Amino acid sequence: MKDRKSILRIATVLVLLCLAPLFLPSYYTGLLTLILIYAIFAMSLDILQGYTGLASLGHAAFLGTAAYIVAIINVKVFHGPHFAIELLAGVLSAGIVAAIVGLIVLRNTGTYLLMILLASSMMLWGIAFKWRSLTGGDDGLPGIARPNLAFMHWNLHNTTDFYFFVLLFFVIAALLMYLVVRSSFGHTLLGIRESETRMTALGYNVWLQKYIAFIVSGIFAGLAGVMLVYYNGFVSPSELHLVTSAEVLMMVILGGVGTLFGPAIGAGIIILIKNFVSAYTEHWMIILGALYMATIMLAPRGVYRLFKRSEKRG
Amino acid sequence: MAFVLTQTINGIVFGMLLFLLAAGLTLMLGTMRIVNLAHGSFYLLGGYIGYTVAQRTHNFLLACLAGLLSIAILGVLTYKTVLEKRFAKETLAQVLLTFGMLLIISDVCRWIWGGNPLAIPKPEMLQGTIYLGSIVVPLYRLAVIIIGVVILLFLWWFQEKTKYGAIVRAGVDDAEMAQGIGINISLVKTLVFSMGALLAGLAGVIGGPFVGLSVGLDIEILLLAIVVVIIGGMGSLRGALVGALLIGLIDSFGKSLLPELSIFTLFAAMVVVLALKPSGLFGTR
Amino acid sequence: MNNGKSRWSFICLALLSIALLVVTVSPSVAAERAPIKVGLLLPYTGTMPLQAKGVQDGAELYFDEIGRKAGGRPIEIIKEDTELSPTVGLTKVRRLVEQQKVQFVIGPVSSAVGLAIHDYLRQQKVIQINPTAFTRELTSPQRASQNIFRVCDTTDENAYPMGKWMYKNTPYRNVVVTGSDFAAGHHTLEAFTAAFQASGGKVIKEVYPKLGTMDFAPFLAAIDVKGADAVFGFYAGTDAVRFVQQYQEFGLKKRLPLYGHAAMVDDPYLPSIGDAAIGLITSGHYTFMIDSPKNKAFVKAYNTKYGENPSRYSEFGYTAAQVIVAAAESLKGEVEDVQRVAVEIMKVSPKIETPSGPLAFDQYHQRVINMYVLKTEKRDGKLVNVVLDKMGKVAQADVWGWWNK
Repeated sequence: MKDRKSILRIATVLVLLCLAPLFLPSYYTGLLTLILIYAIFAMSLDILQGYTGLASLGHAAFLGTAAYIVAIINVKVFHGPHFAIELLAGVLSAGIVAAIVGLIVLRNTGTYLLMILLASSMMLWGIAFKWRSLTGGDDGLPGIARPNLAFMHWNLHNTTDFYFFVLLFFVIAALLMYLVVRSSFGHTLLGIRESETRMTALGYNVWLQKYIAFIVSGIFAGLAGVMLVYYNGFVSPSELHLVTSAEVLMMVILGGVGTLFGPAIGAGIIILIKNFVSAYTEHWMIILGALYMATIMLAPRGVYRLFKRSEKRG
Repeated sequence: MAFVLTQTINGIVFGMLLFLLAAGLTLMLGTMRIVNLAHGSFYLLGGYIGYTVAQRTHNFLLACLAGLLSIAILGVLTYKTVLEKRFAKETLAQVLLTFGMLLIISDVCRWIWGGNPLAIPKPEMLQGTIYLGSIVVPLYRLAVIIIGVVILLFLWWFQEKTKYGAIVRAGVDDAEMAQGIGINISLVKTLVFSMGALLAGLAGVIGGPFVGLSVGLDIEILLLAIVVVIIGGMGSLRGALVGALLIGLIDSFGKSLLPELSIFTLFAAMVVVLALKPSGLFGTR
Repeated sequence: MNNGKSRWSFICLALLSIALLVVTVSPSVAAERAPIKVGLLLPYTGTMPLQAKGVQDGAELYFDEIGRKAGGRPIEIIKEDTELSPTVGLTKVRRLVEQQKVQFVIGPVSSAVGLAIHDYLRQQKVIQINPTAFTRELTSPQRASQNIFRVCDTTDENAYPMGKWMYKNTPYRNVVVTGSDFAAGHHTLEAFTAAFQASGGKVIKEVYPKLGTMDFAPFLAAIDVKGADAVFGFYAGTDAVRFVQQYQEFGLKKRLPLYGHAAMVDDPYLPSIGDAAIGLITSGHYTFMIDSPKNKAFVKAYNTKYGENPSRYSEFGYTAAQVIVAAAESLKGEVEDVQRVAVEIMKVSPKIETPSGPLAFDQYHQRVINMYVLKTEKRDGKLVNVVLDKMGKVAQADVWGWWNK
């Protein structure tokens, strides 16, 4: 796939992203930062959904767990930022949750798996909701400080500096995820998505591959969670809720399941629409719901594929 | 002792309500593999419609009828226009379509009935309380148990004694094969979906007096119904009943004994059941 | 295929329009004497819409009374809905501050939202007048900020004096406390407990159902514990409606007198609660039945404009508006310098006469407030809160000794 056209496209996008803060008002730079964070989240789900074929309505579990771990360390343990520890702990905790949950539920498939993942993430939501002393309960944990990167001459309280901080992680994450799906492991996942029985017949340990994919996907989602909690300075149980899981799934579908970068675009579309529509009407949920339904009925393969398809026709 | 009895009754009452909801959800899942995320929305919308009818006519029975019929119609419409054709086998598509409906219905409800939680006034003759020894039991809640049992019997009759019920039980979804036996499979599916929706709408009205109607209730009650179905097993009415009563009791006792862990205990029960029996207590798939 | 091409061009068009929207929605060009922008950051949707309406109506009443101009500049009001969610509140306050560029924010209602936006607002160049979020931290010595003011009673200012009052004026000594499981609920009940126990009473149990509980049956069973002689509660909005109703429905009201925070019997919700509210004794800073010339004029104007009596939220909104206007007038409309405005507010506030009395802020910008003990009664077929007793002026420093050492 590494032909000249796609390299050019990627380079253009990167350049635009780097220049964006220069011609955007700070409010929109902030919005773009949020889009990048959700892009990481959506792409991580695509590894599970698009490449392994496992539908999940519980992906928020990883986002939220990482976010809460960072928040707890930041506010309760250290009373101040400790970036390296927070990042590591956040990402690892998401991976651990994936390891534990995956162990229990990956025996199931299809609809049942979907609902179990949904209920599992809501269980975490329930814990966060009720364990007030640790998580602040429904009120969440406010007052989370952004990392202190003064040694790099970066002030993360500055919107632009923070944007580049997130952009850096976005690029790294996207690159890593791209390498994963392009590797032989990634191709194995595609095979599993097409037909598990065939892969088993070919001698693959299908369950193990799914398990690894689940953990990898969870780890990247955790990274998004770390970034999100720095962005908001705040974490609440909604980061673990079904609505968040459904939203990221929508981003994947809208952008294009199995295209890896499509979901990033899907993230952008949904966040922009939510933002703009809610500025003009309080009934933005109807529009969002209609958008979801329209997407499924009219463009179920996603936006990304529409671009690629019409390109091939010249 | 009085405490245990009161909580048990509370638990059974809530469990009956959950049963109405879970029965529809599990039938939809068993017959059509449809995960209807808008099921909680059916509950809420049915309840709101019942509320308005109750306000205008002061007739609780009429309100129940209104809630029940309107959602049955909505169910038929939803199934026919959105779910049936292309998406019969695509789980993901159904899930997101129904989630889209959830958002739309949620906002429409807020638009029409406002953000203020409402309660449907109880019917006049059921407003009192009775005293079983030292336990106070509102009459209305007793009535809910009775209604639940009646509906349970009806559903049992439907599944065990009718042709359509046999199809549902067998979980047949192959149109050709069904036609071979002389059954219009499309009719069965439409029937099941609208029946499930109808039950949800009715539950919304019945629950109106003590659960109330509020923003966010659609998701809350959907989640409980999902946990019930997971525990009971997809497609099993028996499972829905057992699961609903179990969850109702856990919820009731949990909230009064361990309020900090009440939400957690519900989902923990689910995880325990899953670990022991991956397809639920009475599930077959 | 035609299908693909038209779909592709539609998507293109859609994206282009979105991009155009992005570019065109830019901050408005400044004209001479641009309006003073006041953001109303309130939970228009959620379980507390009537509180939001009260604050808004009170504020707008005052702005109308002075002709929607202050210090020679027109006043522009921008409303944002927090949806009673801290996450959404954060998004909306960012929009108000960075995109709409307001100079003042009146809001929020929810303490959780208040906490979530607190650190953000401290760093911004806006003045926040908090009308209802009453968790004590927001104006504590540790977290107070020069640009943040609060015109409502804190959880301490309300519940602590009530704890003392209840011990002194009622025979009850073994109280169960109950409230919604969120910051405001916990802090209110902790303050009450501290005062009641310091006076010599005992709080024998705490019951915290979650916010938005539909069915209180199991919790009422938990409250009804042996040895209890009264209950003190904190519920707000529709939770209060359901709790108070079910409290009577399950027969507790006869055996365990119910006391509580005034939020349990807020005027806008009394009609929904119905007769179940009669007899409740609560602690609050305002009821429209207060007999003073300023309040009577306020109630009359409110009725003329809105056709209903003002609630305590109306008073908070009205007072917040008074503060903004007074400062703007005094500075002749120059409200861009946040520090100047903050200093000015402290200077002019003692001269402001609010419906519940003269206004005063302590050094942390928390209102020093007049507290009453109210009783819910039926007068002329309507449910109202009447003044039962006065608890006097309360400053937060008077009532925080038990946690702020």
